[in-house]
Amino acid sequence: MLLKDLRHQAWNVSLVLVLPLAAGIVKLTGLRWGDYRPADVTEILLLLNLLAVFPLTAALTGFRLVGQEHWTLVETLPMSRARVLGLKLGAAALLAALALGAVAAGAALVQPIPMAGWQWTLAVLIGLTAAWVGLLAGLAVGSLGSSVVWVVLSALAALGLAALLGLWQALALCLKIYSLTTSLPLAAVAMILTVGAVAAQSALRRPHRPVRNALTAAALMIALVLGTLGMAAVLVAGAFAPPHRSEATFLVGVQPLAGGRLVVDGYWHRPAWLYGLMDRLGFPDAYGLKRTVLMEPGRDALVPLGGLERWESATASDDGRYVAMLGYPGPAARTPGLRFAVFDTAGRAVLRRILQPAELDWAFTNQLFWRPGAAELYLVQAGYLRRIELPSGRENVLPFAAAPAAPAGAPAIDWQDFGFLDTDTLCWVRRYGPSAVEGLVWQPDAGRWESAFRMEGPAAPAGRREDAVTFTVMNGAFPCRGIPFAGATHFVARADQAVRVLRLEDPQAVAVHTEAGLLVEANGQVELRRWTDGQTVFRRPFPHALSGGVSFGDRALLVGRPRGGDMPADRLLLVDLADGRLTPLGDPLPAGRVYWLRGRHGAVAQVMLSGGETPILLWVDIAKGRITGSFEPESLDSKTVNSEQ
Amino acid sequence: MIQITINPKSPIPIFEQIKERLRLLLLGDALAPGDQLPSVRQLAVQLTVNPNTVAKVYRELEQEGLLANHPGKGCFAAAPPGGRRRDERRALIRSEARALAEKARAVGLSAAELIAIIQEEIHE
Amino acid sequence: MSDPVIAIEKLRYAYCPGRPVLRDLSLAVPAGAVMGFLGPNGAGKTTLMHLLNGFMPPDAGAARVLGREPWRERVALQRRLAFVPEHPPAYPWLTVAAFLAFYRRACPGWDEAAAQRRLDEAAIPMDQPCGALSRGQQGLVSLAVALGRPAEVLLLDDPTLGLDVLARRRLYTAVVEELAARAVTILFATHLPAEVEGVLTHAAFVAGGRIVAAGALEDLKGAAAAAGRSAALEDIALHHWGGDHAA
Repeated sequence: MLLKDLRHQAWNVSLVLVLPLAAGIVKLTGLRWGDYRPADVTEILLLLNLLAVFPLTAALTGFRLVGQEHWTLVETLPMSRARVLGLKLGAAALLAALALGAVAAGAALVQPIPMAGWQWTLAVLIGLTAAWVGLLAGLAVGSLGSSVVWVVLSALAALGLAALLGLWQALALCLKIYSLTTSLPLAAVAMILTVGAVAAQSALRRPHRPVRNALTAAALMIALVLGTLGMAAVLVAGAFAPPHRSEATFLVGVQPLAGGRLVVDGYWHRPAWLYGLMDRLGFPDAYGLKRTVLMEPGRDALVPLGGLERWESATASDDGRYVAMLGYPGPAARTPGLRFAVFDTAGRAVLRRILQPAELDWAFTNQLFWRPGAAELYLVQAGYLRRIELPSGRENVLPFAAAPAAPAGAPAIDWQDFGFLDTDTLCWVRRYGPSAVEGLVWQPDAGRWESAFRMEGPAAPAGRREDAVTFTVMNGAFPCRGIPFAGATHFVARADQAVRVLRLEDPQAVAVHTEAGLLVEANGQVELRRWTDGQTVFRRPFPHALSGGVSFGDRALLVGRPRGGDMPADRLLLVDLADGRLTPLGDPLPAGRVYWLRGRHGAVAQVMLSGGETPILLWVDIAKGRITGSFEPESLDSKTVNSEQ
Repeated sequence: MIQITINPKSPIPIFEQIKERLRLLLLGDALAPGDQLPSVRQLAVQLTVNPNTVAKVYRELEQEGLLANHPGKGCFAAAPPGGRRRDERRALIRSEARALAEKARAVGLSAAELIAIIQEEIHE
Repeated sequence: MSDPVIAIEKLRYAYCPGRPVLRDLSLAVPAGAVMGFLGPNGAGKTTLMHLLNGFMPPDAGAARVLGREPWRERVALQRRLAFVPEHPPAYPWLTVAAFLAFYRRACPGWDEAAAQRRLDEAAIPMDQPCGALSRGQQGLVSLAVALGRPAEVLLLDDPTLGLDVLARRRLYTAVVEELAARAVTILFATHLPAEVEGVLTHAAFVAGGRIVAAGALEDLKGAAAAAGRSAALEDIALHHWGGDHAA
C-alpha cells in the first residue's frame, strides 16, 4: 500500500521543481524585471516556491492520497482502517519531506535563499500540516473542486469563530511574546490536532454520503483551528501567570512595603534547558518578560502588578501602603503612552493612567515621590506638580508658575529637584547655572512657592568639578543628595523650624543625611555636622569607604566598602549619632559580595546582599541594632533571626 | 463427445434432464462399456452447471450400475450384468409407449391408427 | 441443519434519509449454496453486497457472515471473504503483475498460482497497466484476484456487466471450476438469470428493497411448474418482480 502510494504520488514533487527551473533560467540568461536584478528575481521565485508552491503541493498530495484511493478495494483487504490511515499519513509525511528536500535542492543548486534554520523548521511544520489537511479534505469529498470549496468555507467559519472569541489576538501575542522555540509546543499541538482530525474523519466517514462526510470534516477543521488558537491562548495566559518557586524572577530590584511585603522587580526565568536550546539554535533571547510582582516572604504566592507593562520605576510610599509605578506599555498594548499606576499591598491597582511623554517634565530626576509619613503622591508633570491623595484619589496641582521670577540676567535653570525636607516642607531647588541657587518652599495656604534660601555664586566660576559628592536617595526625603554649586556640594535640611544649608567642599567626601546632621566621611574619618550651626558633633576614624547610609532616630546604618588592604570586604555598621560609636553588624562578606541599601520603613532598613548565586534581602532593625531576618526572593525562602547576632 | 442440451424452460429440473440424457447415452450405443466419461468438473464446465449437480447424477447412475467410478482414474461406462440392459431399454421404451397410447386416446385416435403411424415412422 | 453462512435479518439501509434502498430484508444462505441474487436495476443488490462486506453499518437490522458482523469485524471477515464488485476496481497505472503483487502483500494465505492460472487461461498480458485492458479483461482480472484469496464466501456483484459473451463464458467457467475445487458459498447477484441458472442451487428475488421469494432452486421451479407457469428462472424472476408476490 505504502509503496504503491509513494510510487504513484511521487511525481507531485516535480511541481516544486518548476520554479527553481525558471529561476535557473533567469539566472543563466540574466533576465531583469523592472527594477529587480536577476538575483532578486531568482530569490523571489525561490521564496515563492517555498512559501506557496510547497505547501500547496503537500496539500494536493495529501488530497490525492485519499481522494484517489479505491476505497471499495481497500475495504475488502484484511487491513484495519487504522493501519490504512497510518500508511496514508506516513506516505503524506514522507512525500512532504521529499518535496521540501526538492525545494531545498532546487534552491541550493540555483541560488541560496536567506533562511535561518528555524525558518526551514517552520517550513517543515507548515508542509506537514498542509499535507494532513489535504488528507482531511480528501476523506471528506472525493472531488478536488468540492474539497477546495469545503476547505475554504470551513476555514472561514473557523476563523470567524476565532475572531468572535478573540483567539486571534492570543495567537498574535504568542508569536510576539514567545520566540519560535517556545512556540514549538503550539506547533506540536497543531500537528497532533491535525492528525487527530484526519483519524476522526477516517473513522466517521461513510461511503455514498458525501454531504455527511463534508460536514464532519468541516466540523473537525473548525475544531482544529479553534483548538490551536485555544492552545495559543493558554500559552499566553501562562505568560501572565505568576511564576512559582522553581521559575522565579531574575532579580533586579526589591522595595519594601508595609506588612512585610516586597515589590520585586525582575525578569521571568525560563527553564535552563530552554536557554540551552535557544543558544544552540542561535536565538537571541536571553531574558524573558520583565515582571514586577508583590511577594510576601514565607508565602508561596506572587501577586503580579499590572499585566505585561514594563515598569521602570517603583516608588513605595513612606508608610509602605502603596507603590507608585511608571513604565512602558507591554507588547500587547493597543494604546501608546507611558503607564502610570499605583498599587496597594494586595496588588490592586488604586490608580491607573496613561500619560504621554510630553506630559511629564523630564528635566527632573525623579518623576514620582511621596510625602513622608503620608499617602500623598507627587507626580512631576510639564509645568506643574500633581498632588494625588490616596486612597481618596483627590487631586490638585501645584503650578510651577506660582513661584518668584528668576533673577534678572540669570542664565537658564540647569538643575532642579523636588522633595520634602520634613513631613510638611515641600522644597523646590533651582540652580541658575553658576550664578545662583534658589530654594523654594510650597506654601499651601497661599498656593504658591516662596523663597526659603538663596546662594549667589562667585563672580568668576571656579572651574572645578561639581559632581563629587555621592548621596543616597531614600524614599523621596529630600534632598538627601547634595546640590552641586560653586565648587562645593550643598545639603539642605529643616531643623529648628528653619531651612538650613550645609556646604561640603571636599570632592572626595561622602555624605549621609541624618535627622541630627550631616554625616560626612572623608580622609579615613567620619564626622557629624549639626544642621543648626554646622558644628562637628563627633569625629572618628572610619576604616571603610562609606557607600551609603540611612538613619532612624539617634542611630544610622552605614554600608562600608573596602578601603585598602585592611578592610577588604563590605561591612554593615551601626553608628550612634550621639557619640559616633561604630558597631559592625553581621560577618565580613566574602570577596565579590556587596551590600546595597534598599530602603527603610520605620526602624527597619532593608539591605540587599548581592554578588552570590542569588541575592538575599536582609532586614536590619536600626533601633534594636541587629539583623532581624533574611529573605531570598528567588526561592522565596525567608528566615527570621530571633537571637542577638 | 457427449452432447447434452439443457432446456431451462422445461419443468423438469436440470438434474433430471442431465440424468435422463446420460442414461440414454449409456443405455444406447453412444457409450460402450469401458468408455471413459468426462470428469465431474469437465462436464460441469461444459454444461455450465454446478459440479454438485453433475456429481449427484454420476452417483445415482453409479448406484443404478450404469457407470463405475474408479478414484484416481475416472468415470467409465459400466456393463450391467446379463440382459439387464435389455430390460432397461425395454422399460424405457415401455414408459414412452404408455405416454404415447394415452395421448392417442386423448386425441381420439384408435389403436390401429396409432400402430400404423408407428410403423410408418419405423420405416422412415 | 447447520447455521447459514450468511444470515441477514431485517436489514435496512438508506442513502438519503427517508428513502430506504433496503427495507426489512431477511435472507439465509446455507453453507455450500450458490445463491443467485436476482433483482431489477436499483433493487439494492450492490447495497447489500457493500453491507455484507462491512463498508458501512446498516441503519437497522443485523447481518452475519461466517458468524461475524461485517461492520465491526471487517478485518477478520475479509480474511475469509472475497468480493468481485460490479465495476472492476484497479489502479489504472499499476500493471497486472504489480496488482497481483499488491494483493499478495496485503492478503495472508494468498494463492498466487490459482490467480495466475485464471489470468493465463484468459491470456491476459501481465505487463500491461490495468487501465489499458478491455472491460472484459478487467472483469477477469478482478475475478482472478478474488479467486486467489483464501475465501470461504464469494460475493459476486453482477460481475458480467459489460462483458461480452466470451468473457462471460470464461467467468462462469471459472466459477464452476472454483466450485469443483473447493467448498465455497457463493452469493451471485446478477441480472442475467438464464445464463447462470445451471450453476445455482438457490435463488432469492429482491424487489422494493425486500426479498419476495427465496429458496432452493428446485423448490422454486417446482412451485412455478405446479402453478402452471414456466419454470425457467428468468420467467420466475419476472413473475416475482412483476407485482403480485405469492408467498
